[in-house]
Amino acid sequence: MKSNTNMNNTTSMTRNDKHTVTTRQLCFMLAFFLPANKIILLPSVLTQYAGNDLLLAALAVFVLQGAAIFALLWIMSRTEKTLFELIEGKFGTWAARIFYFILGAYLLFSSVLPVTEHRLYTQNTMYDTLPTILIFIPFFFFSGYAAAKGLQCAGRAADVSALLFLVSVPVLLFMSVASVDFTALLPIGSAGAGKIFNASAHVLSWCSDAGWVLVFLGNVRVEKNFLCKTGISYACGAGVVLLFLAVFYGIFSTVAMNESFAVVKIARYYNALKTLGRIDYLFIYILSLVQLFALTLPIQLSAYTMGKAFNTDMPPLFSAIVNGVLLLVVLFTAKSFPSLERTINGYLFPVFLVFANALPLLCPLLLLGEKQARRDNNPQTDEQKDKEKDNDNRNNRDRKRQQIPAGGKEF
Amino acid sequence: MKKTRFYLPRRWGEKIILFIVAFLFLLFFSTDFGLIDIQKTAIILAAGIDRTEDGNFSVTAQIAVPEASKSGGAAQATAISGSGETIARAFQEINTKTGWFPKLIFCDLIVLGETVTQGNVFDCLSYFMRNEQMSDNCLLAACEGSAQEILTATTPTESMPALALQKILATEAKESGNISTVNLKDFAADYFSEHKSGYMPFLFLLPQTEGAQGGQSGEGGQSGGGAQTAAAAQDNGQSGQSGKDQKSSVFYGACTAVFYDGKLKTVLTREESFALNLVVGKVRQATLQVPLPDGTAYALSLTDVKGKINLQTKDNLPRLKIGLKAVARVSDCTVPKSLENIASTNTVREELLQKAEELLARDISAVFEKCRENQCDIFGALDRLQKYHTTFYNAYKEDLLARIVPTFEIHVRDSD
Amino acid sequence: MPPFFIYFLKTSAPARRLTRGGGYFTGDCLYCIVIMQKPEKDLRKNIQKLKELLPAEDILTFAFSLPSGRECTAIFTDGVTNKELLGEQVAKPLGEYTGEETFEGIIRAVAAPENKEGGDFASLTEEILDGNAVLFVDGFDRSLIVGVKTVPARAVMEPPTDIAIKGPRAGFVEDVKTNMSLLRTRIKTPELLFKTVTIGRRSRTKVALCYLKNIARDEVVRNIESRLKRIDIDGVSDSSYVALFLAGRRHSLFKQTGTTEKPDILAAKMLEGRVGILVDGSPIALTLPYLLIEDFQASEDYFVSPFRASFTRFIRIFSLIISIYLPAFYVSAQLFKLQLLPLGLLLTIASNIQGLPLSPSLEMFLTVLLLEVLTEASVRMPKYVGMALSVVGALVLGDTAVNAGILSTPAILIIALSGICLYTVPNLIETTSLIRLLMLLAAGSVGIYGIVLLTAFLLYYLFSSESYGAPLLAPFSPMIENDLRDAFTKYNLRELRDRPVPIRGNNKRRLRDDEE
Repeated sequence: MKSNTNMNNTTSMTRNDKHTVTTRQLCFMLAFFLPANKIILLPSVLTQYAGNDLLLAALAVFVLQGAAIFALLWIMSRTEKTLFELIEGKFGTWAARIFYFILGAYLLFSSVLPVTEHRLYTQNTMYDTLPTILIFIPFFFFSGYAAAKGLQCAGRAADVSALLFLVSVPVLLFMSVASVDFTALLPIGSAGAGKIFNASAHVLSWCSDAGWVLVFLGNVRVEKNFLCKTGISYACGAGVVLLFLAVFYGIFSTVAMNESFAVVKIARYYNALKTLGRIDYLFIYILSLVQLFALTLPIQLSAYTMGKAFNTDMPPLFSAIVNGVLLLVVLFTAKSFPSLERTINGYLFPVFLVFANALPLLCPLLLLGEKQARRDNNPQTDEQKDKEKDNDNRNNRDRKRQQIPAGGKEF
Repeated sequence: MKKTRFYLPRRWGEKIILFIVAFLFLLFFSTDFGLIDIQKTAIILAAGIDRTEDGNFSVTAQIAVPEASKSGGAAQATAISGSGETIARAFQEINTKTGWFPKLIFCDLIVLGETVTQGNVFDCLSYFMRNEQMSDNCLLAACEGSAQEILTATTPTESMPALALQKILATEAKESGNISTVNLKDFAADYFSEHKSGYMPFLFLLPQTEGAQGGQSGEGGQSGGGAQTAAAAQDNGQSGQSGKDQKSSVFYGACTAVFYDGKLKTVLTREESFALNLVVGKVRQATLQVPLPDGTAYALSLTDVKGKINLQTKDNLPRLKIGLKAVARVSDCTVPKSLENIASTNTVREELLQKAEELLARDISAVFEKCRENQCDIFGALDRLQKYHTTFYNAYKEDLLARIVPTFEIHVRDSD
Repeated sequence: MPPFFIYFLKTSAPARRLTRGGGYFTGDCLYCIVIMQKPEKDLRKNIQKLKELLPAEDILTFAFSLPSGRECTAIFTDGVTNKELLGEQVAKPLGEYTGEETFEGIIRAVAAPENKEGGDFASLTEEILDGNAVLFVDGFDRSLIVGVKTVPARAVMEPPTDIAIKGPRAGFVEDVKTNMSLLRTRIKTPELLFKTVTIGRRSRTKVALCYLKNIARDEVVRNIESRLKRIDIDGVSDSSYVALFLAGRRHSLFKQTGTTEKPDILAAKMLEGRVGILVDGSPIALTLPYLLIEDFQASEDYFVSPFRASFTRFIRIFSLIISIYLPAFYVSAQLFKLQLLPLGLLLTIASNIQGLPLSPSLEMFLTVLLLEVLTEASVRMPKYVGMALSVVGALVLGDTAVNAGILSTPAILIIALSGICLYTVPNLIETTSLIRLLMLLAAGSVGIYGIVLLTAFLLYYLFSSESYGAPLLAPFSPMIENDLRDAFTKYNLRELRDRPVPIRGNNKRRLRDDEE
């Protein structure tokens, strides 16, 4: 009983608008953050392992991720508790703090490859000649700033990202569609199940979105039709990636594995570019903003979970630590991206399997006994329930009345 | 549990921002990021590749040289050569010779000399595929003689030969069916596909002083037949080589070089190239010359051109159906006609349509047979077998071209 | 006097009001005692005390007497008080007054419509300094404040910074009362409320908080009022002083209060739920909460067709983007990514910059600096020098610099274009010109990645910025579907049924369409 009271206190303490996103913002994250960084190196890596069956390999990962994310979304629709609170309720505060520390470390780890990939991507997209590594350091200033802000800002970034994404990606796809030959994807399944699953395993690091959705448990304002909206958003996000992969392979077919920075390359065969110059770059740069926001999200969440693990309100400090570590890793691996990529995707992929797939799928178990606990906490007689209902109705009526000024006018 | 609160001291934030701004200023004014100034950059518009006698690559880079001008726009081209065991080494030599850092970002044309096309062209093209900064959208062309000659020629149409060549090989030319334009990406995709066959325009120089003759011989070839054009091409190629002494030359790129496994196997004549383009290219409007037995010749304008290639494996026999549909209207005639006749251009005589179909079928068949002789699966039959008839793939893949029974379905109708 | 009593006097409310932060009575406890006192029956003593409190030469006394011979004296400030009115409405009727000589009777006799009984000397001095006259009648320990204030004010005319081709032309003036009346003539509802606060220890500036009850959010009104009351400054010269105290962020890169010089715009903003702040002596009204989008919404947008309005709004947004990003992209394209330029343009630029002694970034930086200097100088310079300055700036400096091979023509062209585009949103010029410079710095040092990062940083900065609970970047972030109808595009007025969500109070709806 005592621990329950404690838990409730924590709930009220942590339920903070600064760390809450709306259902719409979560939907945008799933629909636009999710594909943003999967259209850089992922297509060529998938092609390398699965050939023309890259779609099947991607589909397999997305289905797995979809199940994991759906499990988390289901929990969100059932309870307002954060993951921390759920673990705290089951295993105690220290267990929750240790888990959050590990989760923070995982999120940091999951950012290593995307950040390094982003560095290469910027070098390729924004410079003609190879620039010094110093050029990339300002990223950490931005990331540090963003990570020090609440999750609310990430939600707002998702809102803007929706506009930016819808301005850039459709234009890039439109520019590239003339040179697509979808028959290049045939024959389906020719790579064989082994190769397809191998490819799926190799891209788990890119498709580990359930990892960051975990942190949003209890930090989302759940609205009507929540599961439906978020589910469709995820499907849209995954659909965009699949469409992009199809377009990518349709353009490059047998040489696709050589085309590393897919999003930069698909539109360059557009005829008008010969006269207008590379205007596709403008849209690529607009998309870069979305990619930046998507890239900083796990870093931001890492700083947030670390803060929770240490039960401290030190956003700038944890942001500095997380970004400092990341900066060191990036500097250390500056010249060895291929081996980094091989290590993470080839050997460390089980980490993603655990945190982004197994854990989210197991999370619904945390809800076992929750209903009983809630009933135990608030034992109400039917009479009390009726009274509460009456109060609610009265409050609603009052609220409506307040909106109508004297004189009965609506405006 | 009480939370520990921590915020940066108010002044810290300002100091951090000041530090960042100061850092940016330092970078801004030092401009020392290892970047290469525009004035030290060699903007390469086209690269010609030859092999030297000792087996090295000789790269001729056509570089745009902007001239100081307040009003801008003035630019001249210069061609600089470098050689080395690899293309990269050759470019490095250009850098060493001139001090200009060669940038391939604007390189829109690669011309492969005869010495290169005799071997596997991907010995040198792989360099361009590896180069992340260069767009693999650049055009490819093989040439007779050396690529250096092509890129150092003087043309009356443009101050820079590269720009003149780009015009000739432009998409618009492809859409008229006259040129088999191809870019590096498409050529590479074909090379790395199952059939390993590809094609690209075949260039040679026509000296302008003899241009009229050359042109006429070209036209004659067009009406007379394919073999003649190849001969004309040969002749003109030679004159092109000796054309160094000529004041200026024009480029001729209506023929097509066909490759298998990266090596040049055969050159299609102008008519064959035209027929090939109609089938595999995205042709919008083409002009076909149709001679009639009575000695008159008509020029038919072909629109709505739709080529179709279909592989079937009925009765365990691979059948390749090459189809072509087009709408024709009369655009010219060698004998004067009545005003009514001129006015009704949309009505094409049945005899003419039939003749046009025959001509096209003959040329497409000639392309197919020529390619079959040289193992070039230019219509992508092997790919189709793999995509749509997977079960037959292993059985047929070794000798598919030999087994194929081709059929040609050409349908030209008038618009009435 | 015992020290504790002096301390008590010093810290008492009226004393604190006048002596805070080194007021003119500091150090002299006797003054503190005087200002807390109420008038005595002896007229001379009262005048003497006031003279001591207000020793300035422009504080005048006007002595006259009732027909019965009872002495009266009016004390007022020269130049601010209307002497004619004082004579007509006070001296003349009292000089003819034959009624009962009670203070109430005298008050009734005074013909001024605006009068009230005075309190202690502190309030009397305030009223005198404000331009009203204080009347003492011998034998009465009471005083009368007569509203005969006259302010040398200019006529209501079109403001120079807010010119409308279509729509109302009246602009605010410096007098707060005139401004309040301009507002009242546009919103004739009892729900329009004014709350007046006096700010400035020495300037005693009147600041009027105006809002529409139910339409503005109560908590916003309360918050602004309490912030206004907390302002402790010696003088308020302009509304921008007040704006700084009302800002949520001390050092903000972006504006935090809306401004307007026109009563119709203020009225429209208040009808959306904003709170207006009128400051005496300033023709610029402040509006809160502030959304960034409102500076893109010109008043004409609501007077022309929605298509035209949407188009001009698009032009404004597009121009602003061009003005900020064009110089930066030009520099980074030259330094880091030549591919951004079409070949023809690149060759043109390359031939133009042949032999220039400056790097592209420095060249652009100098050109921007030159433009800023010219802008600054043209604002400050007397009008008759302005023409000469334009000639020197445009012809001599620009043309000569190009001819001398110091600057290139494209750089000047780009800066000129950027400069013109910047003025499509004049209310944001302070911010945008600074951002343009920062972008240039980022572009010249880090390249296009610098531009992208700085943009992302600015966006994040905006995400975390709020103005009295309203997110600065609304309705884009957080995305508010209803308010997007009046953002990038402007819908027909009949479709703008609801007030903006982040601003409005309880009353949401602003129109009912009969066709609904």
